[in-house]
Amino acid sequence: MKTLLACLRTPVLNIAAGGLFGLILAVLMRLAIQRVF
Amino acid sequence: MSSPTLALRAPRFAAALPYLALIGGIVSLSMGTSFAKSLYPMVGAAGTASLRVGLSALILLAVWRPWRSRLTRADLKGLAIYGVVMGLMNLCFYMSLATIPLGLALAIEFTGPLTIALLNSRKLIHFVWIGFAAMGLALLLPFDGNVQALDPVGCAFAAAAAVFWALYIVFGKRVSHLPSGPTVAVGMSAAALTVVPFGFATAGLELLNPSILMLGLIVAVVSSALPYTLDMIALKGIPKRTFGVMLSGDPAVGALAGLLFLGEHLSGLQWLAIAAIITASIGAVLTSPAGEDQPLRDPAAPA
Repeated sequence: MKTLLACLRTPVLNIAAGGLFGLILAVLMRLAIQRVF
Repeated sequence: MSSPTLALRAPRFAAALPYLALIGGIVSLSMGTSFAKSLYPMVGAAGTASLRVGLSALILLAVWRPWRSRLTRADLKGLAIYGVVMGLMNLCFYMSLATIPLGLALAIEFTGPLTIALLNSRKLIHFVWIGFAAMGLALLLPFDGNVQALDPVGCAFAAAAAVFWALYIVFGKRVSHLPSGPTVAVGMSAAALTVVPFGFATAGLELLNPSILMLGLIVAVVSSALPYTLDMIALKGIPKRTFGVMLSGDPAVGALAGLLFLGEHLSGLQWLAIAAIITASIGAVLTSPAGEDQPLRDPAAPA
């Protein structure tokens, strides 16, 4: 866990992790909206 | 003799004035950009960008008279690069507006300064803001039939405007030691020299038609001179961080202006995308180190 947190403090990995997090959020959001409507 | 009620209200008004000025600036910018779009059928996107940048340059030259400042050859070189980038940023933004809604063009374009703000992200929380920005952009991609497909060329122009906005911040910092008024005046002139040829190439001599020039002057005043002046008033009474947070709402105001003045209806997902990018922007502003410049608006920013 400590290593993971340390990795996120480097800009490149922080941006990569953020981008991945955003894409997953977008997919989940689209799926949720498709289910509802 | 002044009434006691008025005397009590005066300090409140003075405290509220910077906020009113900032809101006025945001609204004026969005209205000016919406109005600019109404010129597209007459002179096209490049023609409109030329009118806005060219006439803004003339206004700024008249106000600041930069020839009175002592600028070295190195300063002029820096200002030329800054101006060319500013011109291309404006041109790409106006080109994107030709095919995609104002709010979405603004949201995509916002990722430029956001990238600069988050480029050296070393805080854990920053990955959340990057995530929100990425989510916003991903929601605009037409992955399925439910999404109102956006014109890819318009999106590419908005993305190019984002890149130029980021470069504009980088090159703007290099000339930040110079006095701001003459800097913007010379930069805007270099921008005009970059953009105006594109305008003449697409609209020809129609650009010099007096009625078109008059409309262009309104665009230049409402979307450049007025917001800049109001921002200057706002900055005197609003902490920089609050200023940055409030400016983060630009894409939403742009989307509303697009809806009200241009009839641009957005889908639920597109509103969600705008909200995600605004959240990322507010988060980045609130978690940036204290005292760091807020790069989210500049006098010459496109919208």
